[in-house]
Amino acid sequence: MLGKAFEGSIDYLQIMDENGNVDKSLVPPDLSDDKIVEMYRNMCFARTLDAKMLSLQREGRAATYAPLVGEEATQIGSAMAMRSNDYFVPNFRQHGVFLVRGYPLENFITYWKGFEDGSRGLKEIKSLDVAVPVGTQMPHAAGLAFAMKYKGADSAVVSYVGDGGTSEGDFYEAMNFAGVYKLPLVIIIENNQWAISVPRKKQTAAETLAQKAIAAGIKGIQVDGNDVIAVYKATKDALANAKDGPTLIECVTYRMSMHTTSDDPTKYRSEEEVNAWKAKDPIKRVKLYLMGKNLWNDELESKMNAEHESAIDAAVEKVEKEFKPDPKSMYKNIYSFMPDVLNNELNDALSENFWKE
Amino acid sequence: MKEVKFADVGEGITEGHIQKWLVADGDTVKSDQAIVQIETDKAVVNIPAPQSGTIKRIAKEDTDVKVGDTLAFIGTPEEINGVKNAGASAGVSQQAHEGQTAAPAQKAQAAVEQKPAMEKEIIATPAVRKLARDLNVDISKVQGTGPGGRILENDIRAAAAKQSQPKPTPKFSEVLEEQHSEEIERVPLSQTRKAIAKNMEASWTIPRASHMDLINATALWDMVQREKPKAEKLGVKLTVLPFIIKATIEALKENPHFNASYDHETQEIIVKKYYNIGLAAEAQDGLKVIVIKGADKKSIIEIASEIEALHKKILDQTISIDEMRDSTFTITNIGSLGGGYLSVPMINYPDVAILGIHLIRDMPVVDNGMIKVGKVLPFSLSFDHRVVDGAEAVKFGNALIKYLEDPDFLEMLG
Repeated sequence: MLGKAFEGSIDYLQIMDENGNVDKSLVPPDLSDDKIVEMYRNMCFARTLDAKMLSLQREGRAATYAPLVGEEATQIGSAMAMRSNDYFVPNFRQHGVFLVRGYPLENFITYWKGFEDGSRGLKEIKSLDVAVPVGTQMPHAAGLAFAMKYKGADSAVVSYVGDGGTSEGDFYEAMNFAGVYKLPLVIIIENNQWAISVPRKKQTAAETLAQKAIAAGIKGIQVDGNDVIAVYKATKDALANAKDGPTLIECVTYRMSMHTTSDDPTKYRSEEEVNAWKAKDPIKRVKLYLMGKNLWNDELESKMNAEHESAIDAAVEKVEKEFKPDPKSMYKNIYSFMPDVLNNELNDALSENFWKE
Repeated sequence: MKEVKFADVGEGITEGHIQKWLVADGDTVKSDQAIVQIETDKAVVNIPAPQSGTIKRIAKEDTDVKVGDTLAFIGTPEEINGVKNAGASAGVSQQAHEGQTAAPAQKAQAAVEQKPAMEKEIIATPAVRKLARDLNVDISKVQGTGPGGRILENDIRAAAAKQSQPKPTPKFSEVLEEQHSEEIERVPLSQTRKAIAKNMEASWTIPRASHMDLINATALWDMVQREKPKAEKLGVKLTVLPFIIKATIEALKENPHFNASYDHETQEIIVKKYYNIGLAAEAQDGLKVIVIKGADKKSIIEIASEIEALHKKILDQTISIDEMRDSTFTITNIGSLGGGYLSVPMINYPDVAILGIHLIRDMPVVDNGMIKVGKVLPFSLSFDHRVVDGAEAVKFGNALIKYLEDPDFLEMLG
């Protein structure tokens, strides 16, 4: 006998196309025009901040930085769909999510200048720490979702992972565990097509990353990751369904800049490819939509840009003027206690006046 | 005033190469505007300005910089005026400026230099140390390539291999420095001499040959003497040169491949249908080439006065780059320097040929079987042998002789 053991498919969602045309039948009812303007402002702020951080890094005023430019819709759309009681688990590129969650700009800048002190305040925005090792945040996210379910809390967990991260064991384990225990977990794959220099097609032979949900027996959907409304809707739906189990959302977007400030994308990908994605810019289409509805104009735009720039400049100035790093802090945040070996090192440094001004 | 230093723009970058300055010295720059492009072993990065203001560039294009080196200063125009010019030795920041402004850069440099001295500790396993002893390698002189400068087995083997190699012949300059250190002086080339050196090296890539001949310039000489007073009334000092330019243009029209450039990549001759005649001129700081543009459309008097005007600019050092480029053919008037008989001039790259004209002397000339005293002008023509051959050079030379010895032609010009 030969029969079908399983059949499945993955939906693709796009609500606003590249030219700002919107399929009204799919727009979530709670999404007012005002909220779309707010989305637009958030995306623009994220991009302006991104450019500033890159500048600071090149001047030696910030440490290694992972630009988000091009991925604003995925981050802002999903972040704005989260409820205040939801948790989020980032990798290292979700600057836009941090902004929407209300993370203080000064903390953000301090962190990316290379100081753990910037991580203070994560509890208030219900975020875990930035996770640099690829995929390691996923088991934490599943664990956090397990805790929410165990405590019966009305909170879900939104976790981010890149296309490269989906090839890690951590990703499968977390998704599988969340599926088995029907945990309130939303996994957002920020598929920006490149894992440093490894292209998406080298990650898996599967046609979509979203279909990995099928193997774990959870819901999965692929979304135009440059469409802020589609990302918003998909995240909103997944959160509404979180009580019944996890959802995997693949946001198809593009990393317009380098992986981090330490690599040169012109060495491994073509200009044509980058240019083709420029046409799909996530911010441009929202602007077209808003201008078409007379909700936006050039005057508002320049006023907004000036506000964003001065807010960022003021925060940078404040951090550079007021923040005094404590060299001793490098011994903290390693273990929950201070082992003798580190303690001795610290004492040696202090007795030799190592940090004398 | 803000000092712009080269930061570690990657993870563990120690040095970079200044590819291109994106702003000019003295430009007003805005905060976050890209000012310089630097290539590291990881990426080509744009370095932005940390603040708005007037910029004083310190690091030179096409030189290497270390992390911590000063790239530029940004401040008010007054502050910037206070910064001394960068020294001739490019890329070395501590030489770039003196006095107060130098202090931070010197400090940075000193820190960089002291570091290796402090870290002279040898990190190597006992096996590697033994290998070094066996192979007679002084381990304290080996640069480790392992993590944290750890000396590896391969480092020792490489050092041993290097020791067994015959020492390379020392450079001539090293020998000189060693044997005559008190009796030699190093004189840096001026900017003009550097440009000349570069052009001459380009010229040397042209496979060239030379053709030489004599012109009986008696008629030309008489003509110039006769016309001189008339020209003087117009305020122009007349010489043989404008006539030679005119005759050259006629010879070029008959032999168009001499008014050309060779395109090495496409293997084509770029024949030029305009006549911009370059004239080599000795300036205070070295050779320069002034260019008479559209010389075929200008009269003898116009050419003579333009030569005078451009010469003046050379002496005043007010000559513009534009007045010194786009020649199609060049003449070098060696005779004007007051000596020499014949020489082989270097072609003014990328021209195809250059004409050297020499001192006009009273010499015996045979006319109708009789020896007479005539004015003789020797000339030499260096040409790109890829483009033209000796036969064409002789044709060109003969055309030049024909025109310059023809009283009717000269009369027409006068």
